[in-house]
Parts: sequence; C-alpha cells; structure tokens
Amino acid sequence: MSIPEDSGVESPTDACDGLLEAIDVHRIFTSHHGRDTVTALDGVSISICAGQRRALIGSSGSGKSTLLSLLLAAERPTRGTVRFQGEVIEPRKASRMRPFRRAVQFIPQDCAASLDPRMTIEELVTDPLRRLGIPGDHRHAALQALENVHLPSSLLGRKRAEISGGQAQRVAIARAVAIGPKILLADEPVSGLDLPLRDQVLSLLRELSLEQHLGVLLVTHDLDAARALCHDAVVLDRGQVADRGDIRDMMSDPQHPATSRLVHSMPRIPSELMEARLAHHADRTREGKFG
Amino acid sequence: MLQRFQRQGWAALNHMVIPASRLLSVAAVVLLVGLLPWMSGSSAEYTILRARYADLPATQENLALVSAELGLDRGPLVIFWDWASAMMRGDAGESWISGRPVLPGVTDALGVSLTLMGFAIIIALLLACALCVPVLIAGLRGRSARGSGAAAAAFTALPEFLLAASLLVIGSVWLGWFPPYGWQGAQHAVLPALALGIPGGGLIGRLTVEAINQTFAERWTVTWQMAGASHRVLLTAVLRRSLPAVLGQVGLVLIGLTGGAVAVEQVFAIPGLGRLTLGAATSQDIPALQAGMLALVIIAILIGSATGLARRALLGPALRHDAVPVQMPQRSRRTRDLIVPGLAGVALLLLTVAGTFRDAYSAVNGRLTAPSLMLPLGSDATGRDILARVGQGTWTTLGTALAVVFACLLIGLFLGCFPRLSAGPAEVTNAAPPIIAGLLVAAVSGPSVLGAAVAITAVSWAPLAVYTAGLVTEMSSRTHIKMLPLLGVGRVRIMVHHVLPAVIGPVTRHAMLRLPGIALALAALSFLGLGAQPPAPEWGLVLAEGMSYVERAPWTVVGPASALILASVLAVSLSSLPTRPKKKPHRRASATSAEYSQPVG
Repeated sequence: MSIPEDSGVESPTDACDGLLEAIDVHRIFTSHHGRDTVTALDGVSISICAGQRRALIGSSGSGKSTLLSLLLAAERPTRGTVRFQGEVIEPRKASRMRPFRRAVQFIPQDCAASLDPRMTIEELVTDPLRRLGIPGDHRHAALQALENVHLPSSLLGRKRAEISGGQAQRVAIARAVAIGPKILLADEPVSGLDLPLRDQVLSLLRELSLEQHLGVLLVTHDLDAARALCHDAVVLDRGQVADRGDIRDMMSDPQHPATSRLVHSMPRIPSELMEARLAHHADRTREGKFG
Repeated sequence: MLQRFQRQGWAALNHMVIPASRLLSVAAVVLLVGLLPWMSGSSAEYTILRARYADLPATQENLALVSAELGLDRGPLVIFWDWASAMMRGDAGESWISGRPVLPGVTDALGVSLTLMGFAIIIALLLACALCVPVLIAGLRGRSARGSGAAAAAFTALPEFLLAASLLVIGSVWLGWFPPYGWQGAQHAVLPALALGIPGGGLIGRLTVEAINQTFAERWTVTWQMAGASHRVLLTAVLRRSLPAVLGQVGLVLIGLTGGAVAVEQVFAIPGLGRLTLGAATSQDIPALQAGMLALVIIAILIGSATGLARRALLGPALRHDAVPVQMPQRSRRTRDLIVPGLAGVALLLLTVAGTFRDAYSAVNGRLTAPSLMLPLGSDATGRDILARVGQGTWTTLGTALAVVFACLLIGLFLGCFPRLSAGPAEVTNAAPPIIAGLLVAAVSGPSVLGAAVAITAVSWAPLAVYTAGLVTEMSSRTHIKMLPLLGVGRVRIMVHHVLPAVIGPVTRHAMLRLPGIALALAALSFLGLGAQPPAPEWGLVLAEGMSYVERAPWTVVGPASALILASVLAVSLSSLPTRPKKKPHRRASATSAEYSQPVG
C-alpha cells in the first residue's frame, strides 16, 4: 500500500522537543511451534513531539496496540527501530529504563483495572515516583497531580473499590502526569465511558497538553474523540499506515478507502455541536464541577 | 532470512524446555537409584554388619571392613558407573544380606506383581464404569446427576493399606471366604486385587463423573440434542470430550498402583515386587532395592506412556496445536457440600479430645482387654489404652502432616514462580507414589518420622507448584500488574510485592485441604514400618501393631482404622470441594493446572 509522497514522510523539525519516533517498524508474531506467523505491523513510521496532539486511528486488528507497545518499549520490533530523542529504545532492565519511563508515560484502556486494588490512591500515585527515582516531596507531588485532574485531596487514603469509575480514570491520568512526562500515550482512554465522562477526560487531556506542553498520542477507533483532542491523525490499516494528515480534512473528505470506511461507519456528531460540548465541559472543569 | 531462522530457533528451543526438564527428571531418578549404595553410607554399613556378622561389635574397623566388602569406599561416580554398566549387561548384582544374585528373585516377583496389577486394573475399570453409567444415562435424559453418594465416595477413598487390612479382617477372618495369606491360586488374588483396584477405580470414577457432568453442562450438548443427534452419537461425543481431560489423572492413578502394591502385598504376604522392595528397604539390602526400584520405575514409565498415547489417539491433531479447550468447573460450593467433611471432622475431634488426656504409653491394663466403659476402645497386646493411642495419634500424625504441608507450601510457592523449568520435576514427583518415595528415603537414612516426612514432601509439592504457577500466570495477566513495568517497577519487585501477596492466600487454602491426605500417606508409611517407630502413638503404627491380633481381638484394629477412615472421608470430601464459595465467572489460568493437579487421597 503506497502513501502519497507529500504526507508520507515524517519530518521532525528542530523545534521538536522530546521526540519519540518509530522508524519503519515491523512486528511479526510467531506461533508456539514457529510454523504460523502473523504480521501485525508491516513497516510503520510515526513520531510524536512534546506539545503535539496526534491520534492513531484504526479498526480492531489494524496494529494500533502493537505499535503502542513498541513505542512504550514493552516489546522489541521484529525489524526497524524505536527512538527517543535520537537514542534507540529497547526493553531492558527496569533500572536502565528509568529515564525513558520518566519521559514517556501511558494511560491504559481499562484505567480502573490498572489500579492495584490493595493499594491506596496515595500509594498508587507516589510508588511510581519512588521507583523511577524522582526527587522531591512525593506526597506533595501526588496532591498536585490530583489537583491537576480536578480530584479532591480527600481521595488519597481510599482504595480502588472506594472510588467511582470516572475518578479511577482520572487517578490513572494523575499517576502518569505526576511523573512529569514529556509524552503521554493513551490507549483508548475514553472507550467504554459514557458521553459526559468521555468529554471530561478529553478536555482534561487537552488542558494538560496545553498547560504542561505535553505530547499526547491518542490511540482510538473513535474519530470524534480524535477530532476533539488532536490536530492530526495517522490511520493504520492491516499493519500499514494508510493515511495521515489533518484530522478535520480527513473526516470531511476522506481520501483513503480505510479512512472513509472508518468515517462512514461512525455515528457522527456535527463538529459545531462537539465544540460546544467540549467548551461547556471546559467551563465546568474550571469551576470544579465534576460528576 | 537469518532473523527468521533465529526466531524459529528460539521458538523451538522454548518448546524444548519442558521435554528437556522431563528427561532430566527421569535421569535424576535413575541417578538417585544408582547412587543408593553411596547415599546409604554409614547407616547401611551398620545394618549390614548386624545382618551378616551379628557376633562382631560395631567398631570403626569392622564398619570399614563391611564398607570395603560392599565396595562403598569407591566413591559415588565409580559406584554409579559400575552399577549402570552391570545393569546394561543384565546383572543386577548380589544381595547384601543373602549374597545370592538379585535378578531371578526380582523377575519372579515382577511376574506376580504384574498379574496382581492386571487384576486390579480390571476391577478399577469395572468400578469406574459402574460409577459413570448412571451419570451418562442421566445426562442423556437431560438431567444432571450428582454422581455417587458420599458413602460410596468415602468407601472408594480408603487408602490401599487400610482397605487391604479391612478386607482381610472381613473376607478372611470373619467370613472365612478367602485365604488370608499367600499366592497359590486365583482365590488368593481376589482380596488383594479388590484392595488394590477399588481405591484407584473409585478415584478414576469420581474424576470421570465430574468431567462428564461438566461436559453435559456445556451448551453444545443441548444444541446437539435439539438437532436430533442420536444417543449413540451424543454419547461418543461426550466421552471424547470428557476422557482426555481425565486421562492424565488416570495415568497417575495407575502409576499409584505401584505404591499401593507395596502395601497390599505386605498385608496379604504376597511374594511380589512391592513386598520384595519393602523388605530390601527395611533391611537396607541396597542391590535388591535398586533392582526392585528400577522395575517399579519402568512399570510407571510404561503406564505413563500408554495413557499419553491413549490421550493422543483421542485428541488427534488438537493436541499438536495446543487447541484443547480446558473444561471449566461449573459448580460453586453449597452449604450441603460441607456436611460430610464437617461431620467427619467433628467425629475426629471427639476421638482426639477423648484420647488426649489418657496415658498412651504405660501397659497398665490387661493384655488385649475387650472394650469397656473404662477402656472404650479396649487395650492392645501390651496392655496399652487404644483410645489414648489413637487420640494422641491425631497429634502425632496431623502434626507431622502439618509440617509436611508447610514445607510443600514453601516449595510450591517458590517453584511455582518458574512454571516451565519445574514442569518436569513436578510431573515426575507428582507421579511418584509416596510409598515408593518412602522406600527410597528409608533405604538411605533408615526408617524414621523425619524420613517419612521428607519422602512425602518430596512427592507432594508438585500440585501446589502447579496451582501457584496457574495463579501467577493469571495474576501476571491482570492489567494492574502488566502496567507495573511501565511505571518503573522491576521484575523481582513485581513478583515479591505485587504477585505473591495476592497468590499466597489461595495457595495456602489449597495446601490445607491436602492435610488429611498427607496424614494418610504418613500413616501408610508408618503402617509399613517406614515412618514412626514404636512406641510412638501413630495411627498407621497402631494399626500395624493390631493386625497380628485381629482374629483374637478385632478392637485393636477397629480403633485406629476408624480414625483413618474418618481422615479419608475428610480428605476426599475436602479435595472434591469446589474452591469457589459463590458463583462468579471463573477463569482457569492454564491447562496444566487441570492436567496435573491430583486430588489427595
């Protein structure tokens, strides 16, 4: 599958700070006996900078999650490299990964399940700070992070079972943000949430990106969520980059068949309405009203 | 291309870990047997000195003399090499006690034992079929049968040595239908074959019934019935689905016959391999023990391979593709399930409380006094209070069993964290019957409680390791654990601080459910003279002491036997207890846990 020349090449500018990039990565899974192989990624290049908000879109099985785990250095690409600020990043011992983990953080799909039920919220937020060797007052950092995601400090002593689903979502975001990363990778952070909650999380991510100059890569199959948060998008289809460019153009006039399939299969909310909804939630967020 | 080759190489290597670990484990067993003379060392020298030269004092020089005569001073490598090369030539050496070649005796005994096992297998299969038929019929009619009743389950759950003793008392002594001892004709084989076959058949039957019930609970059976599949078609399909799940266990049960044969042959004085090996172990006649052991190991490997082939034949290509769906236990625990273990537990408690504060050691009563108000269970051949001995036996037996459970728990938790490496040792030790392990340890160190405990620990940790491995795998696949590396948590810390604390509770509960089963295994070893030594009040030992007087004073057997029967009931009812207290979706983490976990008893 060929990509139009003009949009196909990622050109990192000199201004780009904290560049995370995957260069021509392939990921082939081999079965137990080494007989059958599945190609999950077939030569994909993608990059993300601090302050940039980019969406990674694709239907199920298109290779989104695989690409994400390569970008997180959770596994090694079969071919190709993943670099962070020019250095090749590979899975290594936890202690050697610290600088990378401090700079690139992750929000999982099922946020509530990603919180250890036996730990309090304070432990959940401060433990990674200790493990990653981040200096300073960790309790203060945890309070700050909770404030950033508009959660009251009274939650610190509670456990996962004692907070709501929306709160768990924001705790997971707070845990990632407390580390002070340059880039945040979010795997379907809003799938499975009801609409008001979804909008809250999206506006929160936008706010964090703007205030802290945070790069956000939003992995999703939800074009509306992508449009609400991101400037541009990369569309994955069967392990290859099918399309990339401005997300609004993509939605109003999809060029690639894979993109148009995605666009036409979505129940769409008119963009003006979406804008209004996000603005509404941004106001409420500022006023501190959360459901 | 090179990369691809490397990848396949790694995949193949990964695939080799488990078979290699199996092979190494079998090699370790052979090495162990070959090194027995060296390991038994000074303990054997002393025993042989007493056996051969009863008039010589046990001085350092005399012991060195024996050591040189037996060739024990050659060092382990030479000893093993000489033994292995002689074995290859078909020379099993000469008995340390009688000085005669070992092999002819072993081959004769092997023939006797194989005949006995053959009869026992027939009885086991007949019994298993008898237990399954009602369940199959009920299933075809669309009802689910709960299987055999609790009483039947308890009867088939008695350990071989206890059943053999009971059958001897009932069939030979009271009814007089069968000869009590010897091996001269078909009538001699009936009771031993029953004693050996019933426990195995009962266990196979219960496992199969469980599997069949689970299969009938799967939705496809309803669909097939709706679609008008005939009874014959449905029956074949149900059996094909159910049997592979239990075949691994059936193999273990049949291998367990080798251990059972030791007890049964001892009780009925049958000149088989088990009795020969037991005699060799207690008299530390190592060459005879080595030959007998090797024969038992070969029988076990043959049985294991046969069940493996049967499983392969039933499953076909599904096995190669790792595509065998694991059956999910459907039933959740009900209050009703707790009645039988509860009653057995209370009865055992009463027996213990009644006996604990009495004198178990002094021979102050008349010899073989019949039960009375003062002596509720009568007195034994030296005039000791049987109630006291049985009641205090609970503490001795269960106390040791508790220590064994604790040791198994530690080993299981540790090895469970390395599931693939421990697969081979787990399989081999899981298949080894406790009695065989007890023989080995007793031959090395002489019979003792500690030796029995070590032997049972050595063969009882495997189910706990497999269970731990399953839970660790399941835990590690949880989102909050998978998230940890991304938050900078190292591998060791994840295991120690996050996975193990979550796993330790269920594994400990599982271990405690095995307590009665392990107590029975300890009692079996004591019964055979491989565990506790007189005058300790230990169930197996008290029973063994009473066996000689069973005709004149049956109460000497009834007391300890009832304690053991209560423990068996407890063991079986606890092991078949569903582990889930209430209904919720249940995920079975790995196929191995279903395959290798062996119910106690």
